[in-house]
This record gives sequence, C-alpha cells and structure tokens, in this order.
Amino acid sequence: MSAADAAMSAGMPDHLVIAHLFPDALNLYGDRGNIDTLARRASWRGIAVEVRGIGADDGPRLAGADVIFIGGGADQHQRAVADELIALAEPLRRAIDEGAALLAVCAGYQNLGHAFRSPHVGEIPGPGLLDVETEMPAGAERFVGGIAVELEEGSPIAAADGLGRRRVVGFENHSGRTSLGPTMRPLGRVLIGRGNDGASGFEGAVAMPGDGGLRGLRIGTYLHGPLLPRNPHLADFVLASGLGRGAPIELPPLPDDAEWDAHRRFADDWTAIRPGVYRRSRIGRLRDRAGALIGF
Amino acid sequence: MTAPRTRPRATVRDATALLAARGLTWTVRRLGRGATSLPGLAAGRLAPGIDARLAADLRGAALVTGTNGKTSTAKMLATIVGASGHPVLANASGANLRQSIGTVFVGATTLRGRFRRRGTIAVLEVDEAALPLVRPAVPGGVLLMTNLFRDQLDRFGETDHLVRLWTGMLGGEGAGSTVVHCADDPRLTSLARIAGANGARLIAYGFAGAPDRTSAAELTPEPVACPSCGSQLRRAWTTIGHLGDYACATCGFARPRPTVEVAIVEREGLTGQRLRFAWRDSAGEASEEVVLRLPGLGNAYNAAGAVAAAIGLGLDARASVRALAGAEPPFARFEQFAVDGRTVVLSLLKNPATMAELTSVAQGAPIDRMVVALNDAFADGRDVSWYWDCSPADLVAGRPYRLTGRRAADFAVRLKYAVCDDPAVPPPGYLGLVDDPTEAVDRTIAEAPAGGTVLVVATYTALLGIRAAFAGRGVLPPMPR
Repeated sequence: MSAADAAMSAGMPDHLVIAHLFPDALNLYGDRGNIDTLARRASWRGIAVEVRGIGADDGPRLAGADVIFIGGGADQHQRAVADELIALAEPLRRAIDEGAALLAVCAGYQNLGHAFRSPHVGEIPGPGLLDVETEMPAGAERFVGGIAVELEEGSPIAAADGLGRRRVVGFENHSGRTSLGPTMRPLGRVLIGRGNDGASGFEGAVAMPGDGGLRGLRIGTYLHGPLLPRNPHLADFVLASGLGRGAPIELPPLPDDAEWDAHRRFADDWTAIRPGVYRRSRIGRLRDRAGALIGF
Repeated sequence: MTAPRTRPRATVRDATALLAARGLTWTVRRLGRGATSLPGLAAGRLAPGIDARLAADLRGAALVTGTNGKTSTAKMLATIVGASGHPVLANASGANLRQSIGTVFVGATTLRGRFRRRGTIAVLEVDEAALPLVRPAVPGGVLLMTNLFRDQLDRFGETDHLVRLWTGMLGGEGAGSTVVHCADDPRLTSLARIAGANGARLIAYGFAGAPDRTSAAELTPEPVACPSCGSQLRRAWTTIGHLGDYACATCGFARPRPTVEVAIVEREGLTGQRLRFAWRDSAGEASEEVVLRLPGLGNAYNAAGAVAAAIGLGLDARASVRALAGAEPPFARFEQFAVDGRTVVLSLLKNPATMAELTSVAQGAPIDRMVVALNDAFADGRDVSWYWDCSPADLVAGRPYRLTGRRAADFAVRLKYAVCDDPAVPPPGYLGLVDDPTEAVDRTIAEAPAGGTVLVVATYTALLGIRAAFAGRGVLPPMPR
C-alpha cells in the first residue's frame, strides 16, 4: 500500500496549503527551511502540498490555508511589512479562526503582536494576532547563540511524534524583549540561552487551538536555526493542528533518526559553550583580545 | 584657521613611536608569535595618526573591502602592482584592523617615516565592519568595494547596519579619493554616489552582460530593494545572488555603465578560465584577454575589480590585465595538492555566495568524491543555517560525498529534505558522517580512484584543521603567517 493510499484509508486530509507571509522580505537565515520541512513531512505521508507566497494584497488567498508561516527579517523589512500586516489582519484572523496553524519566527513573532517599540522607529502597532508586546530598549544586549527550551510537562507538542521528547532547540539572534499577555503561555522554559527577555526564563508564546477565542494553533518564537528541521515533534504538531483545523489529527510516524541526531548534537555543543548564559566571562574576553594582539 | 602643528615635534614623537614599535616587533617575534597588531597599536597610542602620516609617503594605496572576494581581489591587485615594477606592501589576510595596518606601515618605514622602498604602493585588505575605523589610517587613494552579501550575521549584524556604517564614512570622501565599486551591486552603486557627489572619482566594474551560465548555481537572491526609493528593482539578468543588471521603474535609479567590463570566454574546470576585459579610458575603448588560474564568476568579478583599481592607481590597463596571468590562488581558494596519486582541491565555504560559486565551478568539473566540512566556531560564524538558502543538492550533484564538522548532522538533514522522496532511503551518494574533518578527508581520499580528484569544501576553522594536518605531512606548504 502506498503512502498516499494509507493517507486516504486513514481518512487523512490529502492536501496541505502553506501560506508563507512576505517570503521575499522576511526570509532571514534559513527560515525558509521551515517551509521545506513542513512540505516534505506532508508529502512523505502522501499529502499533496501547495505553498502560497502572500504579499500585502493577497488577503483573499489566505482562505483555505492550513499553516501560516512568517519568518525573520532585517529591521528595514520589518518596518516595511508592519503596515501591510495591519492590512492583512482580518483575513489572517479569519484563516486562524477557521483552524489554520500559525508559526511566527523572530521578526514575525514581534510583528504579529500588539505593538513593537524601539528608540529608532518609535512604536509600530501590530495586528495583535499574538498576545505579546515587544520592547527594544536603547543599547539592549543582543542575545545571540544556541538555545534549548523545555516544553511543559504533558505538552501535546512533545507527544506529536510519539516519542514524548520535551526539548526544543534553535538559534536566537535578537535584541527584542517580549512579554506575554494573559491569553498566551510560553513555548517553554529556557534550559540554555536567553529567550523572550533574558530575565523571565521563558521562550516563545503559544496559544493552543481554542485559546483566546481562536480555533487555530498559534506559536511565536525567537528560534531560528531553522526551527523545524531539528525539532520534528514541533513540525508534526504544527502540521497535525493545521490539517485537523484546530483538532490535531494523528499523523503516521516518520523515520527521524537524522533529525534527532542533529537535534542532540546541536544541544550538546551549545550546552558545552553556553551553560545558562551565552556571554563569555570577562577573563575569556580579555584572553581573546590579548590573543588577537599577539597574532593568534 | 588654526596654526599647523609644528613639524619637528611631530617628527620626534613619530620617531619615538616607530622606535618603540620596532622594539615591540622584535620582542614579540622572540616570543615566537607573529607581530600583526601590537606594534601598530603601540605606535598609534604614542603618536596618534601616525599611520596616516606614514601613508602620505606612499606612491599609492588601495583598500580592498566587501563581504566576499577581498582576499582574492587584493592578491590579484598586488600581483598587478608588482608586475608594474612598484614595490608592493600588503597585509596578511585576517590582519585587517587599524592597528594591523599600522603594524604593516611601521615595519616598512625608516625612523624618519619614509618607506624604505621608494615608490611603494600599499594594497590592503580591510574587514568590511572595520572599514570606517581603518579609513582614517589611509586617507585618499583607492577604495575598492567588492560586494555586500549576507555574511555571518551573528558577528557583524545585518547588511543594513554595514550600509549605515559605510554611508557615514563615504560622506567624508572627497576629490582626493577614487572609489572603485562593483556596478552590479545596487547597494554599492548607491553608496559610491555619496562619495561621487563630494567630488570623489568613481570607477565602476561589472559583467559585460549575462554570463553564459551552464550551471545551476542557484542562490536565493537577497531582497535588495531600490536603495534610492525602496521600490522593487527590475532585473535584466543576474550573476551571483542579487548581483547583475538592475533598474528602478519608480525613481530611475539604475546600474551605471561599467568602466571595466569582464566576460568569461571559456571555463577550464577547477583550474581556471579565459576572461575578456573591455575598458574605457582617455585613449578610448580597448580590450584584452587573459587566462586566470582561478575559476568561477566570483573570481571573474575579483579580477575586474583588481583591474579597475589598477586604473585608479594610475597603472596601465592592458599591462594590468596581462599581469593577471601570474595571479596565484590565495590560501585555501581552490588550492590543490597531491596525496597518494589523487588530487585534492581545498576551498573555503563561508556563506551562500561561496556555496553558489563552488557549485557553479564544480559543475562539469572532473570530481570523483566530495567532503563537506561545516563548523560553527566563532570564526566560522556561530549560525551556519544559511545553507538552507542554497541548493546543496546541486553542490554535491549526485557525487559520492561525506559530511564532517560540528554541524554535519544538520547538513545531512538539509540534504535529506532537499532530495529524499522516501525518508527511509538515504540521499544518493551519501557516504555518511565522520566527526573529525581530517579523518573524513583521509578516508575519502583512500576511497577515490587512483588519479582521481577529491573536492573538499570547508568552513574556516574546519579548513584550518584539515590544512594544518596535510601541511604537517609535507604535502602542501604551511599556512602563510
């Protein structure tokens, strides 16, 4: 029996629509790998995949989306898309309320909140599709490095690929300080790295299907890497929620040895480099500078 | 107007600083280290601005900067300058901060502040992020900007940040400066115009037209909007990523006609290419062909940049093109050596542009096996996920390949998602993962057919390790200091 037949017989959807918001402006450092991962993991299960690039005038094309993805971007593009996101707010809200799963990374995470404030650009209002606000204080330390996050006990994300693994890993590179409103919970607790604000000990924001009055799953996170290839459980949870229109369906398991090998090595390497916080000790930095001066 | 500083005092102070720097150089060398920064730093502290005063005694100077191609371009330009009969003063690759350039100057001058070899021309590679800090050390002369690609964002911040840094600096260029820039990079064209508006001489270089691209070196173009008005740029053709011919339909911003144009006449695999140059000068239009011993579109650009900079330095254009025949591959750019009757080609992989370039060069070249070594130490860039923006499947192109380095497992996943129609079947040609880069190369060489070729592409620290291991066995010269 082919994978496609299996999909049909299990009553699984045979078609996945991924809406990729501003694929040209917001495509920083491999974020398109998230799209590749969702698409492959669907097609490996016999599901046909359609990826739609969505720009400012494409609101109507959000109808029927199963997964909505928005990636990171440089400051210039982040400002440029802010107004366009306000224009798209209604079709986005409608698609999510019809059960589409939303995944927003880095600049996308900041831009979909209620507001984003920085001394350079002032206050940029957002569509409020994520119940978060972001400040970028003048001279704020930039959080750069590998990050590992622990999902809370009993998280349905951990269960999505049948293995119950609770760790999510990625690469953070931001100076935003994001705080969560009452209708969202953090993605997880920071094991290594800095996360939402470097102080709370939490990373990301999640609204499970139905939370906050919307039927679709919503996840915002600072994790690049890209996020999904090294975290197959999270990739499958996004797929299952979107395909199930808010009621996650059961997906046949895939052979994920390569993905979990990459996950484990990344986590091990960064745990050795960045235990708790990333910045090198004062002595380590002095040693670097002295070494550079005498020609190491 | 303020009175000029009295010259004798400055001279005494400079001489003292030069003497101190010499003592430091001697001491650091005795300690068995390369003195690349400390003497210049000390001289600059004792006599602020000494580097610029020394630079005034040069016959000419060119700073070479940009995200890709600095080292190769600087090396080609140094070859051209050397062939013209002028003594060349160059800095070692990587030693490109202000104090490093000061160190190069104090090492080449007398205590009176004169260059020991009269008529010396300096060709200095400068880190793109350090450029605004380095520029005051070598005012005037030629400033060559190669390109602005995304590169190691975690270290240098976004490209926008570089553009802001350079914008401020270029506002200070004037009639004494010659800004040489790649016409095919819209951001550089816009930046050069800032200097041009202040009276700097501009020399643009670029491709003569769409390159005959037989390869599938696909590089997701960065979203480069019109630098003048922010609209979408129309593109007639592209070469690498966002480089190419462009025009803005909204404000009229467009690619200038290059003074120096290059075209690839014939590709010669991994060993080189025949290039045709066409240029315009006071004598009119002229052209000349040369065989460059470095392959790829990127090196064609580098060669054109070197010729344009040579024109900026007042050297003869035709002689400069001919001199390129003597340009050697720089350290770890398509560097070749023999092991057990196999040819090993070693090349640096550092960002999407270099991967696209390697892909296009490898296309059609006789390569039996490949090793891809990916590390993510500080010098590699901590975040190497840019390979999701490339087509690594086109790089390996069905050849047997082995992966190694700290991020090898991530690259294995990248290839799985790029090519596998069945997740249970490994990608075609995949020989597996070996943790140690040198061991991976050794095993791959041993498996290659006698007389065959192994292409090794590696990020910076992986490459240093592999190179040091083979230099230790005497099959290639040690890394230049």
